Amino acid sequence: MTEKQYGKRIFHALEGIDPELLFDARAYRAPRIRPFLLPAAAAVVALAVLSVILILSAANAVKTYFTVDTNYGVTLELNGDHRVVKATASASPYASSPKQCRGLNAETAARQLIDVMTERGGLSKSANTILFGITDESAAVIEPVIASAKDHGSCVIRAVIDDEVAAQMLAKKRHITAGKAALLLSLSRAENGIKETLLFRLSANDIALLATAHRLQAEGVTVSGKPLDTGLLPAENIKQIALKSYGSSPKEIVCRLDSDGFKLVYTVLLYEGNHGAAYVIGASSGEIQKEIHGASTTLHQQLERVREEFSAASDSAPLVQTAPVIAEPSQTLMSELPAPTAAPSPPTEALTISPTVTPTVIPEPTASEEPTVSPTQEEPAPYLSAQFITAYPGFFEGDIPLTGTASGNREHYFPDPAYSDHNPNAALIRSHVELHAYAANHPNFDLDRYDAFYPDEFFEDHALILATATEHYDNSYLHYWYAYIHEDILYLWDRDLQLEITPDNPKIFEPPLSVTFRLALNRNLSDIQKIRIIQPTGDQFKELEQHTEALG
Amino acid sequence: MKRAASKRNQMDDKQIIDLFFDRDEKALEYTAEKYDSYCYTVAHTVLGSEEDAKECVNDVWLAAWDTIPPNRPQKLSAYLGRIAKNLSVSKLRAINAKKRGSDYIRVCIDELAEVAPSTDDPAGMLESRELTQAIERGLNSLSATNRRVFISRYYYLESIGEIAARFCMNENQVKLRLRRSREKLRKILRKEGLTND
Repeated sequence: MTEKQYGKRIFHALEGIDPELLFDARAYRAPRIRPFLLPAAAAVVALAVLSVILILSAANAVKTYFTVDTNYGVTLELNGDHRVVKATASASPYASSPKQCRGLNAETAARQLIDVMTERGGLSKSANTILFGITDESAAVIEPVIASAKDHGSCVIRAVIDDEVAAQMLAKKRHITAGKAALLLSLSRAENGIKETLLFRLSANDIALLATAHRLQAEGVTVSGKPLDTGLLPAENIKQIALKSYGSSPKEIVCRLDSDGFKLVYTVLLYEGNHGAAYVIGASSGEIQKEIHGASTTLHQQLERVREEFSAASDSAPLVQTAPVIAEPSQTLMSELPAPTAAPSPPTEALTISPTVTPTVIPEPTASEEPTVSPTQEEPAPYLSAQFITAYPGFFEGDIPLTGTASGNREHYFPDPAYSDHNPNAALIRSHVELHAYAANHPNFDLDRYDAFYPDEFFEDHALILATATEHYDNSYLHYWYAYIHEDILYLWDRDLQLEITPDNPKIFEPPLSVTFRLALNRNLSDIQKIRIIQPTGDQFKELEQHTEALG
Repeated sequence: MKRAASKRNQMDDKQIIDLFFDRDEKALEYTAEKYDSYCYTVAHTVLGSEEDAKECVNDVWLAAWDTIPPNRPQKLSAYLGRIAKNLSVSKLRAINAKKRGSDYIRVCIDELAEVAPSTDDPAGMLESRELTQAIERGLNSLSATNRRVFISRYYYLESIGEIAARFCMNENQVKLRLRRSREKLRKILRKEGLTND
């Protein structure tokens, strides 16, 4: 049978198939999609999606906010339904937002927040003050909570955030809540000598004590209840301390609560005729922090200068970063809130107040600053000394005796910022073995690419790798040095690897570099008598590779 | 009149069938009154033409008269519907065959020849009934759309353009589906053992 005959047979065989199949095939009509229906349907879908987005964004849109402060502050941002959209703890950069507040209505969130603060000691035997920062919109929402807090015997500071721009700016600068910032601004306006720099580190309770002591009538601020002062020594005791130090009985004693920018202090002025003395005494410790003697007429001015110093010290000292406290299992709500701490203490230098000592200014860490590993933190191993490096600028050229050990970062080694431009070879010495640390902080850094042929164990006994990223020219290459110790000589081999910046690796060494450079050996440099610098070429490179293999 | 018609409509199928068995011509009258609309719809669905559908419906009554007795349908509506379907699909095939002409049928047969598993296929030795059953199983294994397209093309002899319009496809899509269906059918026939491979 030919195919054609077969086709004919099938053609006729079709006549015998189930009429239902035949009817079904004929009766079927594909649903006609009218041309305009597709865009219409797409438009409907787009509208629906847009509506959902709008509804969601409207639900999450921040309409107002309020803040709650004890030792630390929390900002609760509310949507139009007065539900918490976002909650942020401002005490510490380590503290993440207390996310459990999200979705709660403002009143519930505030009550729970206060409960947690109370549990954590924010409101304890020595502190009972809660600071509420409110806006016009959030005032009504939070008023019941404020009233309730008063009923429970707390001292409540109610600060209206009227100048929101200024408050937010200060809040951002000081890592405090806008409510606290508004309070500080208002207090500063109320009394000239009260500066926010002296207050922003204080707890709400301390601020309340200070405001009460100074009888401050700050605009937009109401204080209800009495702040606890059980943590402070009585003024009489402070006077006795001052008198004891002064040695005689002055005619007049003025004692006043103040702040040194970190904690509450008392300033005691003793007047005896034309002469007098001023004391700054820790309000809790009773320790004399500063003592000034002089003419009565100048005591005030001198004390003001001291306060200026306090203010400057507080202004420039780093914000104390409070490590988060791991919440107890039972404290599930707000478990991410940091535990309140005592008022932060200033650096030791700042505490030691004497006319001749300038407080040590520690640069404030910024968010963008790359974390670096301090050489002294990880390895106590000896380092090449700065003196050595600066003493031997031409040490590449021959054998160099080693002297001493030291540690430091690249600035330490090379105070001249133009070093790399003037002497690229010198820059090699700021080379580092911090590739791992750098890589840990830079996900895009392809460590394997740079470090593959130097196994970790390689560093342990035999060698170090010195590397430097050149920050000048076109940021296109990395200097590597291979080093090993042989018969008490440290051999340095200039590998000078050319690492082209490629699309895969575009910005590894984008200036400014934030790597801490370190020159380190895991063995005592005192064993080493000389350093021999070798600029390998040709066969020497081969030799280097062989040596590398042998060590590997 | 309305009341009389209503009374007749109320006549149940058993009584009508009894009239058929009694060879009473009123059976046709009652059947037509009760099932004319239904059968017309079925026929028109297939034929798509009022005239052809009416003609087909008349053929349905005649076919019923010829087959009852000996048949005694359990459900008259289904029986008549089946006749209407059979007649209308056959009629449409005939109409299309006539309309398209023998050349067109030859084209379809040539296409169907692709389904042949091999030139010396023993299917040639098969009874037509066996082949029909095998094809039916093959068609049932196709997707509903492909099956409909296949039947439209090779049973109803519809043109590619007509099929494309009815199924809201373009002609290339129709051709592609037909080719795939033929290939699948060929494989199935082979699997069914209708080949000496």
